[in-house]
Amino acid sequence: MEDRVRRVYVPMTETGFYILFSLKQERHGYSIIQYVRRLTGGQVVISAGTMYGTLAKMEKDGLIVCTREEEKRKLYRQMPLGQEILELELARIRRLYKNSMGEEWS
Amino acid sequence: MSEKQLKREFRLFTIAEYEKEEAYLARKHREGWKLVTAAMPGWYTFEECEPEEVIYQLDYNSTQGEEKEQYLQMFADCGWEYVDEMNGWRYFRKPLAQADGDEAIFSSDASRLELLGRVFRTRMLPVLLLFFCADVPMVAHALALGFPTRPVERGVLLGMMILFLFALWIVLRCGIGLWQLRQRCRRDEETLR
Repeated sequence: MEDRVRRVYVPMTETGFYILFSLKQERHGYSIIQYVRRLTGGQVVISAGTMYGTLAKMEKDGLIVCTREEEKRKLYRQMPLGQEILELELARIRRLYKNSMGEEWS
Repeated sequence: MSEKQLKREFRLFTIAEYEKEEAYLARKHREGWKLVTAAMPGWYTFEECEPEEVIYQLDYNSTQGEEKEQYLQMFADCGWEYVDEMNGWRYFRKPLAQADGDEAIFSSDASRLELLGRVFRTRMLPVLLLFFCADVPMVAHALALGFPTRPVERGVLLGMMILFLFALWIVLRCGIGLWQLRQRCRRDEETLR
């Protein structure tokens, strides 16, 4: 089961990466959108439908968990599986970067 | 204060034509008619308003109760006004001037593909089943009996054929439409990655 999840999520989409990354800290959907917009200088703007669908999917797959609800907004946080997937993805990005700089990955 | 004028318009869009429907609603708003309700398939009620460039977006989502409230809250936070829902489709709008780089309710092709998958599973599959398990055998059976001689029977057969052709046309139109949308999303997804 978890192997399937790893295969499905890595390599990650930009949207998936930023959502999962943002949930190192407890946040709700709209605060993730604002955070990512600021973080990327407006380069990555996640839309409502995409955010809603991605959060639901990641929750179902056990990457994140809903911690509580605040004024009709669900707050989420990373789960260990989510953290692990993020680390796999970061290692992949580091490899890409290193290789592109002419270095070998070891 | 004067009563706002209302008007009704009838316009049919298939499940694969939601983008055309969005464009139609935006055009009405541009002409000074904003959507009030979409009560039944094809029946739209508009209210007179200031002409404005407004983006209309449709989502296919069937959440109810508390989940629906959370869903609508997320859209409201992103500046989307919820107008109405009809047959599982939810209608949202946002003035173009307020969009600020967020003009659509889906920012990734993966999530757009998911919407198409949901529409296909819950709307297209039941229709296909009905078509192949009821319509096709019925027409095949009638044809196997040979051409009827009594005028009444001829009339019934003709009626059945017309209904069958109509069903076939709808099924093909929806099927091809959904397939084309899917192809476009997939192509976009590949080039963007």
